[in-house]
Amino acid sequence: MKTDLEDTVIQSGPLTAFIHSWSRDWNQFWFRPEAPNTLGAMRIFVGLIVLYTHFTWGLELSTFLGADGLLPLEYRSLLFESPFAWSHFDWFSNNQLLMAVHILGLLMIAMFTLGIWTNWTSVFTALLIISYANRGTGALFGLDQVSSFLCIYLAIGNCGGAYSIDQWIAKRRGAGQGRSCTRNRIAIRLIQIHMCAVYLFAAIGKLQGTTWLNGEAVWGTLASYEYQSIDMSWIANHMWLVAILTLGTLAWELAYPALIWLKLTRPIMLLFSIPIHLGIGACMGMLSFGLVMLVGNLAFVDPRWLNKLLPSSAELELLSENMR
Amino acid sequence: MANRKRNTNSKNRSNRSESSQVPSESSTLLELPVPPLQWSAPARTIATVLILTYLFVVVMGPLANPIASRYFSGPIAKQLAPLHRILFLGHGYRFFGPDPGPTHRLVFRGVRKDGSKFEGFFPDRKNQKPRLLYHRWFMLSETLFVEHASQADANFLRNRKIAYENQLARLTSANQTHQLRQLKLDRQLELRYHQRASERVNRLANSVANVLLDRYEATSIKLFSQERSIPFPEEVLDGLKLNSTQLLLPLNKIGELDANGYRAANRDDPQNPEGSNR
Repeated sequence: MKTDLEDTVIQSGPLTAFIHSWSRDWNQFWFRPEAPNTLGAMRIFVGLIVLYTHFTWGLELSTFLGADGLLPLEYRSLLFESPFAWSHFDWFSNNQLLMAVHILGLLMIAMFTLGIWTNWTSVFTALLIISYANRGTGALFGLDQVSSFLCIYLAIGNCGGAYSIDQWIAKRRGAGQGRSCTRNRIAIRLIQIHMCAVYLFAAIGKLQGTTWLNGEAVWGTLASYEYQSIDMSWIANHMWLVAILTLGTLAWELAYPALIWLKLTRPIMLLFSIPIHLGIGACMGMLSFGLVMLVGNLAFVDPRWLNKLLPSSAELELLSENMR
Repeated sequence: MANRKRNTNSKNRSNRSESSQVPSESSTLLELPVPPLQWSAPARTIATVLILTYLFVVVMGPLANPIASRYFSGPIAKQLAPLHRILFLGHGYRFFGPDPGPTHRLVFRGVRKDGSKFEGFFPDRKNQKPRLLYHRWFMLSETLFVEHASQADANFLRNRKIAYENQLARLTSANQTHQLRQLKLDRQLELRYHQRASERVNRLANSVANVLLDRYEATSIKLFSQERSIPFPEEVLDGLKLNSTQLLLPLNKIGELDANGYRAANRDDPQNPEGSNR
């Protein structure tokens, strides 16, 4: 049976029907309430990676980030020519104070990972990651870029709504933590789209070269001594495998922004992301980067599957809410 | 998400016959009942504007970095730069593109206070652990190489000056005031770019030299960038090791620091590159 609204739309013509249908799909895409399970799981993984990343900064904190360290403040100013590349480290010239602030930062990230006062600690963690990254200009790589945007999106959603101490406390008090909400949906969509942009431009960059097209690029990465963490030089005897890995990686990155959205091809794209990122992580000494990319891919994982692995009371609450 | 979960919930499966609203096990997501929206239409409209604006900001980063259109992405990215800096966005994401290239390490040679000489390099996988810390040193050596390489040598600058003066004379004689103004503006920007590039590498190298000077209790230190080539597969099959010194190119001096302060290497000095540790 048609509703009054549908009758009105049909009578108004195909353009209005198209706009109405597009608007409905847009609303469903961005604003349909979403459970916090995926964001909660991502919070734990991103938190652990970021905790480790920043712990390692601490091993040579003043050497890298100190006022008299390897990375002078003037370098960043000259590079960006912008006062907006901010960092809280700019305020501390004393190395002991710097370490105290660093330890406080690590505590903040640990609280975020555990899901304590997550609405606040997620925002402060995102700010911390950006601040470290801005200060560390000159010694950064993809890990810093990806972990920073993931933290921003986790702060937008209610990432403490599942798998968190906040949720555990709320459950004991009988409060309404872990319910589905719109900002969870927006955060997940932003992660998904940003991941697609990363892969798209990574593929475009590769298309500008020759070795990704002639099938030799993976040799260039595996035979680089500075990157090497596992000796893969045996692969010189199997250049056909190098060609398959090179062209396969390129094809996967090119296809990802489109095929990840289709129900049929999404599992395949996700499945391929595992060996690609773990391979980069294990063979090229960038395990933290490989892992953070995999965590980004979690945004595309079916929450039902995630809930089977990590059951959460948040999901159950959501179910009862949506059944109403 | 909740509706997807409902599919696998055994309690709900047993109630399937009670309501046609509950989807079957094999039903697609499109067939599932849609949960009500929580935000009002005006709130969704505002959010839509914010989301689209934000996504535009995100995409303009890689569209303008490392290559930008002079007429589109370049000027827009320049306007968006404050947002990119504040949120640490604006990256190119061209991982290992366009081609995986050779790597670069920083070699340093110095004299300690007792007169003894020392030499080292980074990244150093034996002494810089864990791996992530090694990678920070590695990225620093790559940054130093890129900054050093981005400087123009005297010969290039001389040729650019000659080209500018020729163009200036031609436009002046033709009385083309608009192009003349543009030419002078471009020349100013070009000179400023080269000056900034030199300042950047000098500041960075000076800081690195100072840290190494302190660490080794040295009186003087020289910094060099050194490229390591990627071997051909055939060379590796013939027994060449990836860490072989045969793959190291001659040292390229960046600068030196002593009691008189930091001095950048003269890129036109025939003595530079000096030496090789092959």
